[in-house]
Amino acid sequence: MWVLGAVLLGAQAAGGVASRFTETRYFAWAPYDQITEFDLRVWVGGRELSGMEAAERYRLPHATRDNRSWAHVPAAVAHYERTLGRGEGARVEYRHRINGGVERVWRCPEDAR
Amino acid sequence: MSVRLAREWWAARAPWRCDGTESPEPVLLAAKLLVLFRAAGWVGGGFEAPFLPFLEVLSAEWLGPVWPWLMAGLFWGGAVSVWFNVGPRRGMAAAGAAIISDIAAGRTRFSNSVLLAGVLLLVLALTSREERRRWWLRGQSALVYGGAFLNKLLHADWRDGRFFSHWAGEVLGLGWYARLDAATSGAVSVTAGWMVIVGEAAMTVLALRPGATRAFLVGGGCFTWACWCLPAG
Repeated sequence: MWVLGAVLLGAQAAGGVASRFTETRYFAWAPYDQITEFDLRVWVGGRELSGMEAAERYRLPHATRDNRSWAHVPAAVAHYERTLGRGEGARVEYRHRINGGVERVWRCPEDAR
Repeated sequence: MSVRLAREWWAARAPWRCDGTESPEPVLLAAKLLVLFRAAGWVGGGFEAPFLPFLEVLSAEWLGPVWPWLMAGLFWGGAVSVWFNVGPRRGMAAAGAAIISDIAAGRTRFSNSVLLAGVLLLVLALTSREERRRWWLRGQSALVYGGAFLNKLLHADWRDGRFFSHWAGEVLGLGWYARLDAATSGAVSVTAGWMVIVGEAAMTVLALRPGATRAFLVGGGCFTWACWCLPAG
């Protein structure tokens, strides 16, 4: 029991420490720590996907307000493009504002490396 | 005779009974409610095949069709064990493991509240009648509040009030808040941000003090109440 408990709590503590070295906050117990408004645009084979097509591709809303780290959407996009979408040559533009601040743009493949 | 036995069996297994098992009564009640709320969230939805998993091993092609059945079996098997007092600690472990495994199988499924339900079930499974101080539960609570405290403390927008002025003023559209904030040159938002940071730090400490359980519960209740009240504006 002690070992299981220590592993369970230790893994979460390690997740919290690891999150300080990245922009994602997956296992860091960071609920509602930033509000990200974003708009995702995707081009595949030179054609721009509709919002619904983009949402289906990544199983994420293509434009909304999220209360988690801004980096979670780019992480999912980058993951998809290096695995399931590899070779399709997709281009992605993720415009976002954190807590109402200035708009920033994350691009794939340029910023996904 | 068999009717009496059936009645006795049911009396011990009824979902509203929380006594007579290897779990302390409050722990079993918490687990029953957690499983119930999580199950309600999945009614009509259910588990899906892995998609962009955190663990690459879960992206194996053969796993796709079996994963939803595997997770559903694990979760619902655990849920029945918890609800009907049949080895509830094993049931909590199974249901919690299913929830966490499903998050591990899908980056886009990640949610702090769902993850919390999963780890809480595992922690409740670790809690026996002999473990009176509830150290696993205390440690888990301290991790959640401590993580939230640190993340906010290290985020400039929480320290300088930007988060609150954006959230209350723009996202929630509370006119009275925006006017009050403007009238005080943003001091209200700075104060609100720091109140949350200090509050979460206090909750972390209280969670780790066995003598402060009541204060911790009251503090948690106040936090939740404030989170519901402000958006209602």
